[in-house]
Amino acid sequence: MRISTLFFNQLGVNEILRNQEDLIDTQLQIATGRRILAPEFDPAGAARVLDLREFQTENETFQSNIQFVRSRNQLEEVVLVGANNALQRARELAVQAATVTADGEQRFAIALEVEQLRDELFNIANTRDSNNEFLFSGSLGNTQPFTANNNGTFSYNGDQTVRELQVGSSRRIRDGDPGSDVFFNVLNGNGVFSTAPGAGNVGAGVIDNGSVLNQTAFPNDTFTITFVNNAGALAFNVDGAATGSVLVNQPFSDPTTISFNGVQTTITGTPAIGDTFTVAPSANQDIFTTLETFRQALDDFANNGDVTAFGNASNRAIGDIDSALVHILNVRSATGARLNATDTQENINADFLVQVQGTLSEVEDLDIAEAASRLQIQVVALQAAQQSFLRVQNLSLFNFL
Amino acid sequence: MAFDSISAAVSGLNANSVALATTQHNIANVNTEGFSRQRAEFGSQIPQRLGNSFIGTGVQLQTVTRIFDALVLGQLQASTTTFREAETLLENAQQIDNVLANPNIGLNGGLNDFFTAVNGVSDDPSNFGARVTLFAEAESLVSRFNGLESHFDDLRLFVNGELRAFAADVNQLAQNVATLNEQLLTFPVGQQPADLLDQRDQVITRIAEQVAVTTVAQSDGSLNVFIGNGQGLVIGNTASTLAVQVSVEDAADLDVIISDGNSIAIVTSQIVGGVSGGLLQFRDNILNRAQNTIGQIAVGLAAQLNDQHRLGQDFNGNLGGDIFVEPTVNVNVNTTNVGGAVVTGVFGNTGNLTPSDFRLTANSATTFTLTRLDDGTTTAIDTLGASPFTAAEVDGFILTIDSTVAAAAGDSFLIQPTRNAANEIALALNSADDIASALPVRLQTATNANGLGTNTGNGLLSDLIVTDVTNLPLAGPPVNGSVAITFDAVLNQFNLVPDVLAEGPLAYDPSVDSGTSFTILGGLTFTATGTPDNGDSFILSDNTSGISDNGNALLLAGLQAVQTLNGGTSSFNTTDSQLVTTIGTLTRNASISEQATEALFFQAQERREAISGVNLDEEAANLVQFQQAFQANAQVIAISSQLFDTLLNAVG
Repeated sequence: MRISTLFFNQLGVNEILRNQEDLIDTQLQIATGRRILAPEFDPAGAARVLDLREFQTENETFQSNIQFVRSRNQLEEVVLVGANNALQRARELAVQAATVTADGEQRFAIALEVEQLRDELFNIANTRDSNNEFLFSGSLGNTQPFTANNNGTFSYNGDQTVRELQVGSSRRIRDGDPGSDVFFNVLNGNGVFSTAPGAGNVGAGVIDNGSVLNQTAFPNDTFTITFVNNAGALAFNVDGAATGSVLVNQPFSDPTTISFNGVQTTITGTPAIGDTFTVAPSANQDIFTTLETFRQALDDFANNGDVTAFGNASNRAIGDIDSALVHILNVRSATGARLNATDTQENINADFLVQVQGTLSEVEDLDIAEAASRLQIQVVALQAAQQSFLRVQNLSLFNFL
Repeated sequence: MAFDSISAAVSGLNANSVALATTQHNIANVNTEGFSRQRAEFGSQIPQRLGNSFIGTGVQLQTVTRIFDALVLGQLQASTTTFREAETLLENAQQIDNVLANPNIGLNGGLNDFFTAVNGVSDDPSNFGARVTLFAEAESLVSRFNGLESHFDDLRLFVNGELRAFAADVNQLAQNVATLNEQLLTFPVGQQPADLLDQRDQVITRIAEQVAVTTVAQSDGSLNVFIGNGQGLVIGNTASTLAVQVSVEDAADLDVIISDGNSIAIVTSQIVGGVSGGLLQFRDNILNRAQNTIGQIAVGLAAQLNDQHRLGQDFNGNLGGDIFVEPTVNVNVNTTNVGGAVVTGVFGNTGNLTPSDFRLTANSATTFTLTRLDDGTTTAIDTLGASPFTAAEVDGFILTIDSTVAAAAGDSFLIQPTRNAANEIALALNSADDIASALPVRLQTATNANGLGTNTGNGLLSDLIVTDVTNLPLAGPPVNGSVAITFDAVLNQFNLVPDVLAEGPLAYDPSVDSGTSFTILGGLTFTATGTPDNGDSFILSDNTSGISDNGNALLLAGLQAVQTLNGGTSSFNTTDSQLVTTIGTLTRNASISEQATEALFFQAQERREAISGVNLDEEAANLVQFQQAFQANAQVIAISSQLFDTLLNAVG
């Protein structure tokens, strides 16, 4: 076939241009380390890279959410350990104060220490986090959750909102508890019922915290134990406000354990006829009030030396503190469980991330060894095209005319 | 005899010098594009009769022909057209392809950053730093949308500019063809100058670079040139005029029109091949698709995030406003409409939007046909004479036709639901405080004045979901306070106090109904579990001061993964990555077709050059050949002269 001179030149130049294009692509790939310079090179791969990046960002976000969940739950755990320690000490003091050897002076000193424990508990319950938000006020981060009132009571000013954070694509973990659940809504007494002496008692009867034999048999009702004269002998009746009469004219001798409706309680000492004791379903009581009530009892005893009143009060205090300890322990276990779940989820996310990065690198990253050898071949090809073009270009019959 | 030989030699000299001149002409035009090499054709002269013999009288030049094959030229012109079309399409497609997946420009990166910032607020709703970050990321997401849109607009302007240049170029070339036709008319057919024919062929090849042409040779030697479906571009010695005008359907686009001095026709849809065909293909198949899809994401994102955001409560305790300014449906009135119907559109369920444009055509004053342009699906609309008439929702938007002045049959409207959305989306938030990260209400168990829980049962109302805030805040009408939801264990029901919408009591039998959900006040849903005691109460109230609540931020963050677009089949991110695949594939196809058509173009060029191209070596050989012939003829004259001298000397 004839080849025209013009086309002959164009042919050579075209080959050189094509080689240059290939070379530049490879060079760019090596310079950026990316296999896909534009989606055109691998449309499905390019979209996969975007999807994987989204997945990667999502998981990295979960990991950063986890940091918040962990640090807040850890902070809560620290506070709970503090609360636990304060309550443990208060319980030791309650036991110590109840021993007969403790005299008024000692009890006064114990009262001072309980007051300090109460304040300590009050302070840590009002802890703020690193963002200066109160840890235990629910969604009212700027509101101090616990305040003391003039009448010796305490108020919770936060709300009951629980905040959850997204830590996995279908997993949320709460980052703490509202203060009402931790310090306020603690059932008093033994957790099922609480006992109390009547306000006008004159005898020396002391009631303990009682125990539960069969919880389902105990109705949501308040029972009154009334001491009566049964033909000259000290006896007692038990009546439920709604249930009606339960026991009548039961003989009493110190001490007597009274059982009814799945519960039992023991009264020691000798009550006077007409004295009453109540057995009521446990109600919510805040931990600060528990300590404050105990402190008040110690204070009163130091002032009036009423052994019976103090005996009842200290029984009640030990019961309430035990309930609080169990409650704090439960909250702590829940916090610990959340921290565990957080760790597990963090590992799952980390595994995902490693996998995503691996896939991403497979799809997106350049095989440098392959690219380098490709570059080498392309350089040789370009040089060959250039040199042969120059050589062939010199061939003309006119050179010989 | 000597005189005869001299005259024969002179004819040889003449003929060979013409051949030499032709060779020189070929050599001179070695680099002239479209030049066909020429050859001097010789024939022997009519011999002289001498008795019974004939004696040759030399050579005569018959013609100078161009070496040319019309079929091969036709192939070259056809392959030029397809190659230029593919090349133009590829060059422009790459402009979009390179941008969409770029982590700094494309949407995916912006969406990721934005939702990461939403998570940041969800982690720490009262942290001002997290809020400011989200505010900034929302701003930067908007500017990504706007940036992509302005890139698309630039490309559209570029296409328009190129179409203008195309019309001007083709006009110039068509005029050249007409002039050449006229010049060639002065020569009899078969004796037309080769160079003029070459020039005309070359000009037509250059038109073929711009747009596909067909040529028809006329018996008078002129060549008629047609484009599209037989629109005459050059007829004999007159050329029609191409021009562009603003499209009657869409003011942003240009239409190509052709005018032969008497009538004007819109030929945009008939333009195929060449640079212009490539530009129109790019505009209609790639640019529109990309712009509409990005717009589709903008509309969906704005609508769906706003909807959720409006259900929340901001840092200052107000109900959430809009995060983004929501784009609007673009309706273009055809400028040739005769009637006066006014068509407007609003978005419905943005999850059903498609990247297609639509055309609403009036069949009569009251009946219309809505056509989805990408697949031709039609929907009939009959206003039944009502005005304004609101049509049923189609593909995520709702049209209203106001027929105060009725439409005339044939009137049309081009509806581009998402075309300008990426430009119209803007930031509506005024400050970081306006981010509604909290739920507007809280549902809590009853407490005494000190905050101690007073419920004794284990019943719980939880999982509060807000879907409508019409009756919020609760402190305002109609509730004017809070709602107490109190359990009545005798009748097994929750009583609502106040029950302003008469929705209570809510029947709940703890033994069988645990897990039941109730919705009150139009859009506040909660789930009841466990066994409440008689009188246990739950209080639904405004989430006053609830700055640390992340209830709504959590839901906003969750929208990234939800498949809310394309009828619930893709998320914002995947819609974008699907667009990357689509445009990437189209670009890749354009690239493959560019390579294929280039090879064909190359082949056609090779064939044409093989036949008509100048080879210098060949010409050098010819040069030597004709020079030698010339010398030989000169030598014949010299010898004749010697013979003559010899004769004279012999006589003398």
